[in-house]
Amino acid sequence: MCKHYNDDYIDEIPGDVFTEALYNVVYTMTGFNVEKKISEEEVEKKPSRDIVGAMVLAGKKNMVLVVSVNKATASLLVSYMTGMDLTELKEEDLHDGITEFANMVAGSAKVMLTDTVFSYKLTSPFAVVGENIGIISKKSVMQYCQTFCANEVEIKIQIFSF
Amino acid sequence: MSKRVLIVDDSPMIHNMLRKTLEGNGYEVCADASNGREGVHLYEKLQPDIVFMDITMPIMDGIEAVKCIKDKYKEAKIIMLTAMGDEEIMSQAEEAGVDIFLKKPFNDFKIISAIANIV
Repeated sequence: MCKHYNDDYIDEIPGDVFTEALYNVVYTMTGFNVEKKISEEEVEKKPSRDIVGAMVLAGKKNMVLVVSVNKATASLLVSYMTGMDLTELKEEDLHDGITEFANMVAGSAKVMLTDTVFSYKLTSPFAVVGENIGIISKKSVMQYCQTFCANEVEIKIQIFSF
Repeated sequence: MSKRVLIVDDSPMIHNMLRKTLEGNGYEVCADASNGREGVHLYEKLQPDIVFMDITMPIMDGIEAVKCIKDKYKEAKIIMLTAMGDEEIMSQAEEAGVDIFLKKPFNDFKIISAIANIV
C-alpha cells in the first residue's frame, strides 16, 4: 500500500500510487503481470507511440495523467479486455480502449489518494492520436515517468504536476 | 428464460467487455445505451431485469438516470459500474437508489457475483 501523503509531500508526485493503480488495472482486465522497465534507454530504442490516453486530475495539486502506447500494445490490451479478435478491432476501438484504460488507472489511484494532499476530482478522459507522438512539457512542470512491460505489451505513464 | 440486461455506458469497449461476460454466463444483453437519457428511454421501453450504469456520460449522467428510473420503477435493479470510487460519489449513488456499486477495473467474477446478489 502507498504511503500516506500529507501536506509535507505537496511538492512531490505520488508515482507509487499510479504504479500500483496501473498494475491493478492491467492485471484485472487482461491477466498480464507488467513490470517496470529498468532502462529508459532500452525503451527509447522503439519510441513509437501512437495513442495517448489522458486525463486532467483536478485537486489542490493539479495533475495530468498520460498513458501512451503503440498500436500493437493497444490492440493486445483491447483484445484481451473485450475478447474481440485482433483482426476485428477498428481504430476507434483502440482509441476508446486506451481512453477508458486511462480512466480506470486514474479512478483506481483516486481511491488510494482519498483524504491525502493529492485528493482529486476526475474529469473526462480523452485521447490524442497520431504517429510517433509524445507529450513534452516545460522544465518547470514536475513529471513522473515510468514504462511498464510484459512480453509485447509496453505502456508508458507520465504524470505532470503543476 | 435468461435474464435481460441493459448496458448504459459511453465507452463502446465497456459494452463489448460486459457483453462478452454476460452472454458467456447465460444473460441476454437486450440493449446498449451511450448516455443516461437513452438509458432511461430504453429502460421504459424494454423493462430489463438488470441495468449496468456508468456515471460520467454526456447528455445525462448515470446518477440522474438512476433517479429517473427509480422514481418510476422502484423494483428496477441497477448496478453502477464506474471508475469513480470515492465515498461522495458512492453516497450520491446510494441516495439515487443504486443497488450495487462496482468499481472499474472489473473481471467476470465481479460482474457475475454482483448480479447474483441482486437477482
